[in-house]
Amino acid sequence: MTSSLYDFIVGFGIALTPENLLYALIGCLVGTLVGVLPGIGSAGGMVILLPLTYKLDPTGAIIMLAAIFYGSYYGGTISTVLMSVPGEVASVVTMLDGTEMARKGRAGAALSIAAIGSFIGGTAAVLALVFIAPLLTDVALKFGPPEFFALLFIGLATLALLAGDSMLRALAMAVFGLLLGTIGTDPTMGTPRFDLGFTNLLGGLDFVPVVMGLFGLSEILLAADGPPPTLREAKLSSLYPTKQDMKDSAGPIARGTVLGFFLGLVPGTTQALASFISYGVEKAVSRRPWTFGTGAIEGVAGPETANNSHANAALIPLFTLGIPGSPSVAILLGAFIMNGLAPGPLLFSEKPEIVWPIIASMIIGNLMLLILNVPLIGLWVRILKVPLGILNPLIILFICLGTYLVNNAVFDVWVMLLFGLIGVVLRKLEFPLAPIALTLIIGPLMEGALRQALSISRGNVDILFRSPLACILLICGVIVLTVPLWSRRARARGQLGKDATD
Amino acid sequence: MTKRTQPDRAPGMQIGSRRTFLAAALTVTGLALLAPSPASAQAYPEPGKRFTIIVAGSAGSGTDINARFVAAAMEKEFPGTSFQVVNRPGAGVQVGVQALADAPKDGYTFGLISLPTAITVMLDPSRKANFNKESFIGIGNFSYDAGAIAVRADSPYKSLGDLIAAAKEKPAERTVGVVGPRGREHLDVIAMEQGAGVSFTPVFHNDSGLALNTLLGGNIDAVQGSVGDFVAQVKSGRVRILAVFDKQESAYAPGVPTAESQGFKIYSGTSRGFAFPAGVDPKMAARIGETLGKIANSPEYKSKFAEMGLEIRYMDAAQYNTYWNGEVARISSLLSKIN
Repeated sequence: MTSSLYDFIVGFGIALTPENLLYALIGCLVGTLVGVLPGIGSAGGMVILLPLTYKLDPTGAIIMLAAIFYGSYYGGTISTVLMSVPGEVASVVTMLDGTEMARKGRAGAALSIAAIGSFIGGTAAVLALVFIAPLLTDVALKFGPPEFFALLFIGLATLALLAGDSMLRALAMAVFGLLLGTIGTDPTMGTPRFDLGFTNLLGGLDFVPVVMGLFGLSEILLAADGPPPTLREAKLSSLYPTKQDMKDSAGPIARGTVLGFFLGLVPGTTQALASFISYGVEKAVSRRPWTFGTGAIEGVAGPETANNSHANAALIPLFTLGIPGSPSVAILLGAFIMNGLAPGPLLFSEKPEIVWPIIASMIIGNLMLLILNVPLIGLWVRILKVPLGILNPLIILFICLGTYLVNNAVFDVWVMLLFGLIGVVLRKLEFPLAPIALTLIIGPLMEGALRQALSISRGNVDILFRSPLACILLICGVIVLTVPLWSRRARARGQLGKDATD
Repeated sequence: MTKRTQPDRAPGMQIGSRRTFLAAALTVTGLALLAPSPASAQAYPEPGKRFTIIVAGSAGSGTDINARFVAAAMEKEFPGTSFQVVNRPGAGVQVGVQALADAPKDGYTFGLISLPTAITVMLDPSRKANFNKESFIGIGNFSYDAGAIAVRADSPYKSLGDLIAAAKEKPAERTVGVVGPRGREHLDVIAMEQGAGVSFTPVFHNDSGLALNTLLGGNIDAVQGSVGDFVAQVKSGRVRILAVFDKQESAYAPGVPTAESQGFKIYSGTSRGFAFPAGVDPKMAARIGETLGKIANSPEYKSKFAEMGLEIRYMDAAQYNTYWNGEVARISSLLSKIN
């Protein structure tokens, strides 16, 4: 460990050379930009700059790509809070409270707390990568199919917390999401399922077009129809969080860091899953769960921290095992290989002169992002002053572009438009949309894990309960499921009722 | 004239004046035009043109890395042109291969084809693929990642024979992680089952990394993949490769015996070749095919290939065609036995 500290310090020296600082800065700026632009995520940004990796030196190239990767999760919050359009799929859950905060004139506070939380979560995960990565490798390996299934069960259980007023409506939407998740190819039989004759659907519905349609396009279509959104009329109070905000956010940020971190260690989980579970956890532990959905700062701080912590922690299985946990990390893996650096256990001993500067630059990059983001909040919130007639067409343009770029497929743009219309109808009928996103992420993963587990046990369901870890996770899931029961009781005891705004 | 402007170029670029930039650009184009063009295809590829390489896989994947390498090398071979990789992932490789079949036939769009993956798609009636071998002009193969089966380093199975014997003892109890049903890796397992008269239980994963994760966690007995999937894990002592499904040992897994030497005549692996859509001028296809051979055999790239872990196995158009036909026969016979 002492030698890794030494290497890390040497790495810092290399990361601090002017050109490497420049690469990190470019990566952070591009990352923030692709994060802000709705629909274009970290993967999209990295692909655009991937060809450059042949032209730059390996260290600089990977420093830049990594900065795009973690930088995009900072940027994602901005469009989510200010435009009510998720900048990244990982930010969907931030809409529940982030947009409401903006409506109350607290957009600045929401963005600041998200940036601070992102910084803490992201940096903590990098430090863990430096000092305890070898110890953590085995954590990732503890998650076999049964444990993964149990973990996803917790995710599914957070549904109970996303329900809002009507559990029935939430469940209907959850089932809708689960059904959408069955489109594609049967994971065990290999036969097409509900593909409606479209080749493009054989791989399943992509998450980005569905989310951008449901949450992004439908918001804009409704704005064109309904009364002017209060969002833009709200007087902007202070740009920065109050002391009370900081106090309220400390717990969510700490929990988000730990939660995102551990989820990030498990290959196959996504940032969006981390932010959903974080939201659920915050609502479950909150003393005022009824404020969630009306602009609770905890509902922004937790998830935004968790997704950054997850993003950086997901690099641990990449560095130590050579296993990429998500599509964005897979692009980073590709960049490593193209530069002749096969990530894996030996990377640290074989190429310390490249690995350590990259890791050191991630600390620098997170600091840059904090410095870039907080003072610029004043500038970003001016987006609210741009006339809707100009802003909304631009947003639609970027949503289409971002959706197209995921697979370079026009088909996905049609899917996005369709889900935009579905979103309008569902919103008019006052169905909550978050459960669709949640179950669409979880459904296919959970099905895969369940069927793997049952293949291994040759059909014995008890495999799901054999390991202590799986049992603990399942119990946690059950606890999360019952939260609404006791929180409702708390409300009945005469504490503050839910805001009458909805 | 070109000689006179050449030295001015660098300082002009630094100042960044638009006019000098234009002059420089013209010079570069001029140089490319002056370069001796081969007799086989005078005006092809035209300088200034952009090629598109369709890749049926996401950015960062094994296929993608091969394509991006070839794109960068082709740009050097044809100065003045550019080669852009376009990722078309989806439905295994079906979306991307379909896009290649439907691509413009002007000679400026070609694609990377992974065999036998593309063949399994063509032969699976439930997928209703709108293309077959005749939809493409194969120009040659570039690299090959031989099939391999691996277990955890602490596994009791020391050879392929051990694993097969265990499967014989308890039918369908030994679990083997693979990617996707009826994918190449799954078909390898089926070939072993048929060859040895045993049965395994396949456990399907979305990609080879996740299958490896399940193996390392001790949840399954083995993973069927390619040599490239296991190299890093073997070096770190976490994984042992039991057999390589190739005619000879792999340079990346020295000392690991072939399946053949252990009594199982199974030869399988993932090849990365290139093809144009049918209908393209065969001369154009041949021109790019030749260049592919030049790149693959160039000593200049040898160390780079080794760094990237690529096993180069160049086949010219005729050899590639023979290999492709052989794979069609092998895969159809395997598929016919499982349905």
